[in-house]
Amino acid sequence: MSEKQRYTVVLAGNPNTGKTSLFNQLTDSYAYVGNWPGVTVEKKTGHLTNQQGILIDLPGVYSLNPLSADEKIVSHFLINDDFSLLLNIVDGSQLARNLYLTVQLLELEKPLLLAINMVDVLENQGSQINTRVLQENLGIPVVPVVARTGLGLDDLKKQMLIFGESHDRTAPFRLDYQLLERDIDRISEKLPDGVPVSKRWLSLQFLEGNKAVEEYLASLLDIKILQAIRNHAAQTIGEDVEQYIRRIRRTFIDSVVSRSLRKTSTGNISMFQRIDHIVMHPYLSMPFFFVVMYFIFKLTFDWIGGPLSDLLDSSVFVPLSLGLQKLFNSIGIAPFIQDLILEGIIPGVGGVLVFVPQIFSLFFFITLIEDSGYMARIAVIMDRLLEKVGLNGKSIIPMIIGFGCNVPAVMAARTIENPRERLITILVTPLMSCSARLPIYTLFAGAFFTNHQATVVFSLYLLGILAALILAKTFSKTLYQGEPSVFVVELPPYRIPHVKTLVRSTWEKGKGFVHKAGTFIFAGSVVIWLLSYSGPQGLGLNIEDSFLAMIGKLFALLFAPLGFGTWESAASLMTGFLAKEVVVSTMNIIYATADVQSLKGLITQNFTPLQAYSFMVFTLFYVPCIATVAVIKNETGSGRWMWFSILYSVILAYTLSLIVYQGGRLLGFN
Amino acid sequence: MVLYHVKTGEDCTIKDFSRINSWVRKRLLDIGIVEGMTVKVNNKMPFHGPIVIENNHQSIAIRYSDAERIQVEG
Repeated sequence: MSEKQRYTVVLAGNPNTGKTSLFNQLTDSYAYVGNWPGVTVEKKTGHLTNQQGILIDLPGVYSLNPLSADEKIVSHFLINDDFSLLLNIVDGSQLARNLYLTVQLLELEKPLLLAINMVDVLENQGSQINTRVLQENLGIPVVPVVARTGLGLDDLKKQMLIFGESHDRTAPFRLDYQLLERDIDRISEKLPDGVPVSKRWLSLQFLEGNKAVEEYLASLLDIKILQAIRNHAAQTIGEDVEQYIRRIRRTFIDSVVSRSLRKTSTGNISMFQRIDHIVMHPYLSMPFFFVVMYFIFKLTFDWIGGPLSDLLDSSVFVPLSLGLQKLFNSIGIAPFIQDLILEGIIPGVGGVLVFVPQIFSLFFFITLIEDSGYMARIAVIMDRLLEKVGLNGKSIIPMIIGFGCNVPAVMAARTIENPRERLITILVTPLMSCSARLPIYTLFAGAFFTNHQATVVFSLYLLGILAALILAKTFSKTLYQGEPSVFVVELPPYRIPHVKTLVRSTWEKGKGFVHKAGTFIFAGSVVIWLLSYSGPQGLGLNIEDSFLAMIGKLFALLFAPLGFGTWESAASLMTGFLAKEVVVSTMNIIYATADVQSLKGLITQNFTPLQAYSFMVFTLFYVPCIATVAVIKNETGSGRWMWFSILYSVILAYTLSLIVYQGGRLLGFN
Repeated sequence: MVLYHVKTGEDCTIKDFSRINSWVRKRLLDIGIVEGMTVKVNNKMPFHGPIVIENNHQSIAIRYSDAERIQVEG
């Protein structure tokens, strides 16, 4: 089937309605993630599991009338794109609010299917929805589901199939807009035939001030004529047109809800609501947040990730390396190839892969925070502090995701409405120590600070956060002033995340790391090994005479005041621009070690603890990795900000390492 | 009285929020907070931090500066 005829389902709904869960449940594991044209908002497309066809996930919106550029996408898509079925997911426990979008979608007069999610939450609140009544009132099929657990999904899929076979099942939906009806007709008459969507819908959306629709109509005809009709309409009804439309829709929705929602009991106030007495307590909330974060680090490094990582090293990589060595000896493979694999690829790639447990563990906890509903609360808890430094409570979300990976973190800044706050968030997010920097810390902290690993690593994270706050303040003082800052955050009810969703999102986030190891780091390891194997005098030299050593020595002088002026460190740091974990790969290759244990032994001979700490501070701050740099350019839409972020981070890294090393020496450390 | 002065745990009815930032007003309308609605103040963050209000099992946080401009009746 060609792309055009393909059965295309579009998923629309308010934010926080379980759209992602439903998307995951309806599609197979492969989802194509791209960007919507013209804007940097993630567009997710997946294959439907039980049938031919695709599912497109629209950004979550409360109304089709957009408040931000990101929300414009929805209207734009509905006008310009072909699709077979609209699947509208609504939160059953917030029926009235969710139906506002539904009414606007109904007016579009396209095939529409309603999935009522979280019927379990509703029941806990002591209410039930009569789907039959709802169905009759709206004139479209309604399916109750619990997307988290998969309840009702078979029925939903069946309904989607029926729709797939026969279109135009919907009876036309029409609300009486009373005093506005004449103006709706007048606008409709002006619209040329052949517009791809309902003329009535276009007229209504225009009247209520939908900017995306207005732009579209302006491309078709002289928009001044329509604007005159709208001004006239405002005079006739004697109030704001948008408000008038909103009220008529609300009246309709309230009557539908009162007919279809039945109170069955008083409901049990769940223990979850009481959690907020502590979690959102005026004075306990912030300490609680820090304790949670500390536990996550403890679990990731000391209790789960660390031991698993050691196990992986001793039971997989060491035997693999030894086994291959034996194999190569017995079959007599060329020494060059043998060295390439045993001294280049295995230490390079393996040295990074060994940290998979820590990285997945960290991503797991970030997903847990997101899915449980705690993330939105963190934004509220941190808003006052972040507002003081010129950021927004919502900036904490990219910052926490940044602990996993800076690339999605920079993208997550999109949810911040104010452009200036968003820019500053993007600029300071790379200071959040990402998981790729972890291998470096784990290596050094494991070698030098065995008994205080988590504490040392935690101190680096704290240093990153502090630097981010101070720089945010500096940037907000010096960068351009813009619109006033706004903050409205919805706190979703606490939920126990569903295992399948949790595992899937963790994998989605972490797989990039494994992928990088197989491509980028693989290639990087080969190149680095070649540079260490070759030199001006030929191949197979002593590493001291290699190209790598030559390049490293050029930069080593610069690093001397920071305590690590060796060519080995300089070479490792340079290659770390590719991806920070390459620093470890390079060290593995340079020091020619087979596993992490022996590398730890070697670096304790080459660094003092103070030098090691200074080195870690430097790797924390110097230059975001190449992928982050690219995404900063994308998200800010300018190379200028990209260069700015590179430059300021190098200066910051150098200054702080210098202070740590020279200051530490003055205090008598070594 | 303004919303910010309602004590934690107490209810109030929203009378007028025409004085707040128009963006915030629109978003509140989208979320379903309208004039005439009764809301409960659930939490207040210290040092003039955000205030969390609840209506019909739905919690929304807004800033002090906005909560200070919303007229309510206790």
